[in-house]
Amino acid sequence: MKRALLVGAIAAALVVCAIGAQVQTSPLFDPANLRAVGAFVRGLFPPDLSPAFLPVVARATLRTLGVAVAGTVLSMALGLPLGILGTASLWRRGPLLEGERHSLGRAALAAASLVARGLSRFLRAVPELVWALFFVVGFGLGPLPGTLALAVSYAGVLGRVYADLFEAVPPGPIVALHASGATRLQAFAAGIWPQAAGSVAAYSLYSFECCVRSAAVLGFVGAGGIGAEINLSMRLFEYGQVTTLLAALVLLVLGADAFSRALRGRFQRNAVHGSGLLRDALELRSARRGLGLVWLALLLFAFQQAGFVGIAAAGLWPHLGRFAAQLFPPDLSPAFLATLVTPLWQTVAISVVGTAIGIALGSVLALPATSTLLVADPDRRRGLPARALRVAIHGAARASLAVLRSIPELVWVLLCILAVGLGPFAGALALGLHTAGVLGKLYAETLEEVPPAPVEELRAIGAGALQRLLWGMWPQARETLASYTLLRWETNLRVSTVVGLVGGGGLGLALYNDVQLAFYDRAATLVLLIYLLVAATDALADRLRRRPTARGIALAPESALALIAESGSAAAP
Amino acid sequence: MRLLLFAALALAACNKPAPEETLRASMIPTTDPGKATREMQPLVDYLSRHTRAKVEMTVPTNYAAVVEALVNDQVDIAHLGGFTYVQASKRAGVRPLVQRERDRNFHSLFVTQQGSNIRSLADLKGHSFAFGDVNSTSGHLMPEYYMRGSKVDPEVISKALYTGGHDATLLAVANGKVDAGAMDEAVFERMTSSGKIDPAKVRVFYTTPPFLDYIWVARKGLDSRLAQSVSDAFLALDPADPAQKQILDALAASKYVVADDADYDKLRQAAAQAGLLR
Amino acid sequence: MSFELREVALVYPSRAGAVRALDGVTLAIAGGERVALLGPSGAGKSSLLKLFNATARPTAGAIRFEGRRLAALAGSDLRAVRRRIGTVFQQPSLVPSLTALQNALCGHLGSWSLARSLRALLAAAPSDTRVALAALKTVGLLDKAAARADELSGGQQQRVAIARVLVQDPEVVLTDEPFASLDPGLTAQLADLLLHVAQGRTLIAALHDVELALAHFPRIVGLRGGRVAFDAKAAEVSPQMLRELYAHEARGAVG
Repeated sequence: MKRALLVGAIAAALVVCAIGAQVQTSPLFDPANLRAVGAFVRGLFPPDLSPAFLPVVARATLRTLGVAVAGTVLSMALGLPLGILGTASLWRRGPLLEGERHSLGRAALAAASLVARGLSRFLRAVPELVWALFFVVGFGLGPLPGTLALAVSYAGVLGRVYADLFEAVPPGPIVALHASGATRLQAFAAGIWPQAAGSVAAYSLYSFECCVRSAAVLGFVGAGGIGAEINLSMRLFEYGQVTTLLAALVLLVLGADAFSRALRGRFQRNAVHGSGLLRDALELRSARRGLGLVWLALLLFAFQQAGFVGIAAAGLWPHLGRFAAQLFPPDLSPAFLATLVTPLWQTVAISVVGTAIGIALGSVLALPATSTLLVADPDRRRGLPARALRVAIHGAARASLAVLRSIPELVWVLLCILAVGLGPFAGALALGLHTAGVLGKLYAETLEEVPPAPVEELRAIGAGALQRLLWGMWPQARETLASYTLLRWETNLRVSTVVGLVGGGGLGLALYNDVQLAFYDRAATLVLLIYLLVAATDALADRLRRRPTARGIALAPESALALIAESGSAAAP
Repeated sequence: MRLLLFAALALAACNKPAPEETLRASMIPTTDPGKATREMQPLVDYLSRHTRAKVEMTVPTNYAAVVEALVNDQVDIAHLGGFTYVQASKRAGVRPLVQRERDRNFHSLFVTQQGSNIRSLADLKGHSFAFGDVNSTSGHLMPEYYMRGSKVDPEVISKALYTGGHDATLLAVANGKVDAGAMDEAVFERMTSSGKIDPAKVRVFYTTPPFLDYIWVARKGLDSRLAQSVSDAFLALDPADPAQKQILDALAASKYVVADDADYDKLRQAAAQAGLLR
Repeated sequence: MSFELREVALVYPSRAGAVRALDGVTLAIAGGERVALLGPSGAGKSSLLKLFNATARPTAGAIRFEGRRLAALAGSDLRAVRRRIGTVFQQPSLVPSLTALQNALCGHLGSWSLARSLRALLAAAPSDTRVALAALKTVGLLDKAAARADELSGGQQQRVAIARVLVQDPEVVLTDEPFASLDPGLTAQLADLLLHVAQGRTLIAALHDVELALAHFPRIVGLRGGRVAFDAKAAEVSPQMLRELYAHEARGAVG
């Protein structure tokens, strides 16, 4: 009975959200729209590989990479102090503080620590595209604003991740150090850092992968790189160029992932023996000085690509000050706030409908993509044609998921606009397509990793593949599946605030228009609103996870961290 | 130590001083006639020759960024829409230079589907409507101004979509995603003549009275000799010279004339009325 | 109902090279028989049971069920055969997040359609539930019907597994050393239960407990090193045969 009520409530909420996101099935089957999509798809081929265009692609790719590298390095530099200051076990509670006198200084440090946590939360709650939109106006044209947007946004992510890592180290050595008279910073340097450094390096590399994906779409709001070129080519109807640019984007993302995975593996191996970073730094200094110089040169090149040459330009900083001053005070007049109700509601609806589409499409694709259900099932007919067909279906499902996932939401928005027109439905559909790719992969992996013994017993009883899925795999996987889905919804809510920047409806459109008209006090209000919305969602999701009935939904700290890092971007884990 | 030295050298290499004079130009892609304008190379070369400066062209997709870049002295000359010019002159005190002859006599077109029953602005009541970018003159400001002037139902304006560009507006109308839209006449001509849009699918049902639109401007502090040489270069473009004809064609221009700030008062008034200028 | 094995071999690939779990096993079991499989660890008892319930295919030779080669079956034919064969494993692996009742209901899966199994996951039909509750009552776990499987003790889980077999109502019951992990008191209790459940069915049991085997199983098959060491009536099994069966002499086979 209770379950029927819950199902009814969820269905009703979905319908209400579908109305909010202006979901219509008719545009999907409208011949005019189908022709537009058909023309687009035909236009994608052949890709533009002309000598005039390839240098454009190369420059844009290099620039995107430079922005990502510089953004990551800066976000680490900003995130580390935020993380140290935000570490509760250093400043706020735990064995280090027990037995210490209450003093004004200690209270001030505890307050500063809370401020650092709050600042991290604010920096990461505001999507990097929103930061970029502001910085484009504040810092002017070129890649610099994109770099700074990544730096700020990921500083928020890393600040939190670092603090969590520092809090997670075993307290023994720190307490011992403190007891022997070390200050807290000394306790950090000698007690916490050596234990956490390997993980810090691994997560920083992970955030680099996310930064590459983010950097590619920052161009949509004028921050240069691949995103800007895709946007321009779409506007010029040069779909063949879009193909080339998307291919470059996918290659860049895959390359960054491979690079980071390789290095991460090394750090994690070293982390077992202590400090990976320190060891690597030592190696760098001695045996591989030459290689170190190469790295440094590459880093400098990245910063140059990322627009740092101009950061010292006269007039930039005063201008930034003038610009920032215009954000205050935010416009909180009732008349303006009243205009935000609809976009706010649309944003929430887009995230819910987008996630629902992602769950549905992702599940459908996840089943054939799960190897234990299809290709690795020994009960299937074993003739060569049947086997080849199964392998083909499995491969096609995996490939579809990869494509859905590797094209960023904002690019999907541009494509969905062709199919269903401007507005929130295009945003929801775009979100749904990307989410399907992410969730479908996670679902398939989760199902594959379910403990096999109970499922094998069902097989022995005579259960078919889908019955084993329903009765053996689903019950074992459902809590993990639910927690992944919940996390993805949190991510989607953040993304749904920006799909409007390229025509997908919601708060993003209002923000874009206000920035375009230089109504910065209104834009500031919108950023506050986005922050409050994202913070409220995080709080709600945390509560859902903590519900006693949702046993097992809480993730291991390790994976929670990975997903925090992931949620900062349109990335797929 | 060696690392530091290396770093300093590398930084120095990145910070090479620019040659004598650089003219940083910026153009929004709204008037883009197509592929060639990703770089606008012929125009860049022509301006370089005439002004004896190294011309760096950027093609941002964002009007606000160009205005702020002018405020911020990051751009020396820029091609702006009429409304963007009004914004920029208020915020950054930019100087008007030149404009195409046709910019002095520009129109917005109101388009709908061939088979629709919309025949006049008054018929828009109850229909969906699309503007282009929010700070486009011919895609938003002036159409809205004339809509208000002829007492179109305010609901149509308040519920209108912003497509972000003239091309998107025309596509949306042609594919029936909105009932009607307003757009730049030059883009309409280009898209229908190039076959990007089937001319048989759309119908123009209203053309606005003429107004002023696009303009080349110089930032407030730009050396007046350099600004003058830019103006002179544009004014000297001669359709009789094949090479220069190519540039004029790329800019969809027949001839350039000197621009005057006072001509834009009507736009200022329209923008203030619509609450788009504060 | 009958099983017929002819020169059956089962080879597992492993990192250290192929492992011969069964080698040249020839055996026939008729309907209604009660057969105990004895032998040291790694003799091949579990492997043999996997062949009987068609979850493994022989590497060489053939196993026939009612004259049909099991290895040739796939899809719904395979399901139809498995439905008639119930297995109680050494370490029962119930689905941990399902209730005892739901785990017992799983016994129906072989005969349910996909639609019915989907519906039953939300709410099983009263007739199906009655059968499962009756089975839980037989094994003495009616009061734990609503408990999650991972909240039950090892013995209780083993009894749910037996209830599942009752629900399945197969013609053949296979058990793989079902008491190995239980204390002696429980073993006697469960052995009685299992023998009770197997009444009127063919029972093939891999057992550690030689006395239990000799007391309740008319036919004993001794396995050693993947081969049949002896196949005899219980009364004919001599202490000498058993000593040889369990003598320390590893031959690199696994079970």
